[in-house]
Amino acid sequence: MSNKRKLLNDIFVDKVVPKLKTNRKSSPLLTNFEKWSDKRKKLLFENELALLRSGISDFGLEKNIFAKLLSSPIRCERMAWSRSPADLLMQVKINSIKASNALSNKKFELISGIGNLKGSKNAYLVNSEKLLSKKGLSHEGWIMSILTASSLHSIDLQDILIDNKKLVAGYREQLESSIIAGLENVAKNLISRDHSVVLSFDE
Amino acid sequence: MDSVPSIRILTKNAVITSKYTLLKNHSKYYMPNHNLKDIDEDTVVKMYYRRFIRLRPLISRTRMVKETYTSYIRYKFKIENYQLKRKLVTGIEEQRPLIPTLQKSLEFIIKSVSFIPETKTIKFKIARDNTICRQVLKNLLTVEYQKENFIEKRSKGSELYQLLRVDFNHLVNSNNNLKFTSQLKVFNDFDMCLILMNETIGTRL
Repeated sequence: MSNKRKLLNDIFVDKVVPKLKTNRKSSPLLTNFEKWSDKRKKLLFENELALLRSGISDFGLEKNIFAKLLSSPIRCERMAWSRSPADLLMQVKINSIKASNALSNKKFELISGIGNLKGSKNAYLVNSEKLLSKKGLSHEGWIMSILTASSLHSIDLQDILIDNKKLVAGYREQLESSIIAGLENVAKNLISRDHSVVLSFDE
Repeated sequence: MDSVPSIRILTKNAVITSKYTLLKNHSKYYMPNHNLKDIDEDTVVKMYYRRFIRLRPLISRTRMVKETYTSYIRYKFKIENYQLKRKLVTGIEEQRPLIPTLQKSLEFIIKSVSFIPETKTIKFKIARDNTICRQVLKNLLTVEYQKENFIEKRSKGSELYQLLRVDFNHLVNSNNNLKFTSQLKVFNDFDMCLILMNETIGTRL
């Protein structure tokens, strides 16, 4: 008993308002309604074949590392207050330190965001690494902006252990280990075909 | 559960749904089929420029984005020394033939404004590719807008314009203590990534 009817080839909807019928002598407002419809305009292709026939091919961007980097959602970078794709920036989170491990009486520390999936509220993105390790850099500026922008207003600046070197070194370590793990994974699952080029590495 | 009925209005040139206006006739956005090698290069470049500008209403409805797109296209066609940029990032000196890269770039933009109807059961692989094109274009225009704002607001004279648009000094890995290093590093990363993507898919974005 469904009211489903075929629209654009295979799209089904529950109800369809009857088509707007136009007379031969009707006004351009009706015949060229697309000019006044005030909706986002796109080019209609019925299916994949129609696209390919027009000469538009598949660029294979799903497997293109640069395209994936550039298409990641835009996030605001806290050092320069500028906007950039998230995958080009470094993610930093505020993690609570367990009391038994504490070397100081700080309650929180800054860690990098790789592999830490929990607590998405705490994550804010900072610019690339070299600038973080500079001596003359006042880190308090961007820490403050992270705190004010975050929902954790209750955390004081004094409660956070900020160690730039540790942060940068930890981040570097995590990056390197994830790259090595990825390469090892590729090496395990390698199916060698004729004319294939394999890049290997030594530890 | 579906209380709002879906609307579809058909006209001669388009299908209008509740979300989009889908244009059926795309011929003015493509290049003509006959052999372009018979025409001189300047005319062909102008033909491409016209098609890029014709796609402007499809990029976005907001004026700000459309203006960013227009100034981006104008800059690319009239002012940018793409070969210099490419050389600073990749080190390659030989030029690529121009027309194929323009064709690929036009295809990229067309993909980002295309619509293929998909349902829960029928999915097209190329639709995912088009979505990535759209996201890259959106991010590209966002960063372009950032650059324009940055040049306009922080520049004493045309210092930053020279840096970002003419010399591309931000792409050079030098240890100079430039001002605004963190902002320039963000632009550096983005531009490098974009040029490397261009190398892999043959575009000139």
